[in-house]
Amino acid sequence: MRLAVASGKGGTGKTLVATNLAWSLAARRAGVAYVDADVEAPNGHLFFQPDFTWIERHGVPVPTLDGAHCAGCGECASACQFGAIVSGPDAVTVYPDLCHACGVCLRACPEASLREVVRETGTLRRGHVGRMGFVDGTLDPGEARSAPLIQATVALGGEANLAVLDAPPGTSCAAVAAVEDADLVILVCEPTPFGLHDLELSLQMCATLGLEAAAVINRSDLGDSQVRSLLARERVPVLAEVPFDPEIAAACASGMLASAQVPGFASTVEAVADQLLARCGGRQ
Amino acid sequence: MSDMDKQSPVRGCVAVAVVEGSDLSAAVGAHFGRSPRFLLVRDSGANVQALDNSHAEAAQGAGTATASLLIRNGVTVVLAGQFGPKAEDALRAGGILPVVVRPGTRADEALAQLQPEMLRAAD
Amino acid sequence: MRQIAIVSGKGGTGKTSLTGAFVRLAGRCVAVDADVDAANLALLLPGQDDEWRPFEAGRRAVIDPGRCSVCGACLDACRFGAIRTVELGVESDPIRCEGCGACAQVCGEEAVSFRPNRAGLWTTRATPWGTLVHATLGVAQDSSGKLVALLRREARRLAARDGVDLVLIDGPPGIGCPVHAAITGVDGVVVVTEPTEAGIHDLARVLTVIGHFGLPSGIVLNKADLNAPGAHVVETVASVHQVPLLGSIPFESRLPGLLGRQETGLEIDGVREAILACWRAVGEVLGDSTHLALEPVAAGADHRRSRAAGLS
Repeated sequence: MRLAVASGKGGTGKTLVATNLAWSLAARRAGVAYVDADVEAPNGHLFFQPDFTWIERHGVPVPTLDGAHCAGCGECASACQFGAIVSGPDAVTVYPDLCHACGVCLRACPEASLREVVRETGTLRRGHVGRMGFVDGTLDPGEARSAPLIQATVALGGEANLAVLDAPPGTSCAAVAAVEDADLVILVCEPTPFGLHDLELSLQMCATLGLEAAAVINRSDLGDSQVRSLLARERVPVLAEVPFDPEIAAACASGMLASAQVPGFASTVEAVADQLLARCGGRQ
Repeated sequence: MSDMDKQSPVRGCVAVAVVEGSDLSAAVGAHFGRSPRFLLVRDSGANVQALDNSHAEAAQGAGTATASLLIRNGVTVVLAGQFGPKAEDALRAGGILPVVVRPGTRADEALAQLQPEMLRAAD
Repeated sequence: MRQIAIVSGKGGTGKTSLTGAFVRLAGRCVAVDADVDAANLALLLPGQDDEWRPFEAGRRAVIDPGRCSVCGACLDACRFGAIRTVELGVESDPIRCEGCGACAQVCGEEAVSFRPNRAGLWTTRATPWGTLVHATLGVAQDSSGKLVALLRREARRLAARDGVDLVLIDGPPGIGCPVHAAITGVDGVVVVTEPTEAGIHDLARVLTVIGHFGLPSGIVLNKADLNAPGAHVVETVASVHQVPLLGSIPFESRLPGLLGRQETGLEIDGVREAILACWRAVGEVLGDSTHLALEPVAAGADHRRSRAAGLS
């Protein structure tokens, strides 16, 4: 079972919901993991200080000539759709950050001179916090393509019985890579005009991918009611409303789990956890 | 793959990035990789041929893909308003000299300003 | 023409609200919403959109069932899991397909063709402060870098046409490709952050990226009073990276409600002065490479200084 916590944009409280929800679920059953797939800005570890048991660099394959013979025919460069390989008179130049690792150049080379080597683009970590599993991926600064690392992070976290995925914000390929196999997407939204617009895009993503969606309305008392109308119209269940509370903000700001500090918020999260366990009870 | 891609390379050729036009009165374009067309100038201007750049609208890697196109067409010097770092690197690796020209300059005027040693590379 | 990008490592720091305020303070500029994954600047800048134009990027495979012999070679060749079996053969999923052509390369029946990929839509809007260039990207589209480049090209063209000497770019959050596209070749970068652990963590990451590009930059600490110790850490990060702190803006719980009325915080006493001080610092700190035409919202003491900055 995979629960993806997503949002149309960053800063809506996605990590707040994902971290506290994972923690609450882990208190209720074994085999729960928090999986931080927001690899461009992975912040979940700040709230948990996990004990890491496994850390590995993650990479993607890129083509290389590596001393092999090149006739300079340019077939590889013609075949590459991404401009990632340029053919000179008797050698090729590879631009790894443009490469999609599709393997087309290898097949195009009549001399079979190209092979693939791994280029590191980020770090994968696995550990635990008490009995809760913890997985995260961190993209190296300067790297442009995050989807392969996100997929690896989700796959590593998928080994848990119940994974709570902290997805990248938005509806880009990065967000899709994190949510595409989720059993439920929990959209964290704010009742503001920005929040409404971003929620529309997120719901569009879920519809396009055929994913079931639910919502948590954060800072529910700041703003207007349009977000609620949209959710009602689209028949998206609202799992919880979280009013603005300076104590929650203060806990988050200092890297503490708000549910451990703010009793009212803790009971909100527990109620969401109970709802979700009741939903997935039949599927386990 | 366009017909131009398949053409056999001809040695000694200056390419000029242009937005439109097919003779040397055309204006030099601002950006190398996103340039929709190049004028291939051979024989000191006696022979001018337009080469459309199918990579101008590429989702990514337009600069490097355009460099490949010019390498395949036997270009030795290329004029444009601006070159991306990867495109410049790819051009040099392919034996093409990138030359920055003020965008909007007439192609024939830009060619006239080329240093003799650059033209020697093209001849 | 000067181009200034407003970015943030972390989302939700108030980057777009601040950009909306800066547009008003600039008085006359071309604004670009380069946060194409969650384009919200238009919600703060009233006006009528021009016609929406398609944005195409890359291509997608289409498999002709009439030619396909269902040999399965493309299934093995595709590394993106885009080819799936259906009742009468195989088809390509346009969301997973990256247009690489591996399927066409291995197909013995020439059953694969390609169509252009419509990745999004873009348009321009006439606002009281100048033109806004904005766009919306489709689901799972990966070409936001190219779209950002297109929007910025259009903004430069419009600025040149209309004789406007300032382009303000509302950048995307994060540190990836769209951020690179948003800050490439700008004259200065304003980094908006908040005094939270996550905000500080991401601030350091985005400053590293800006450092790679060697661009002049400055930091605006938003929601500064939400966490006093965090505010000190932001100052430390700023000095470690040798990036000036342009100013601090207090947290204002009324702001989310005001955004619905297309207000940006300039209407609130205390917040207005803070934003104005930041805007002035943008001109001063991003300095000689930046000359901003400062148009103060409130006339008075700021006026002469603004004029001077405008003429520098």
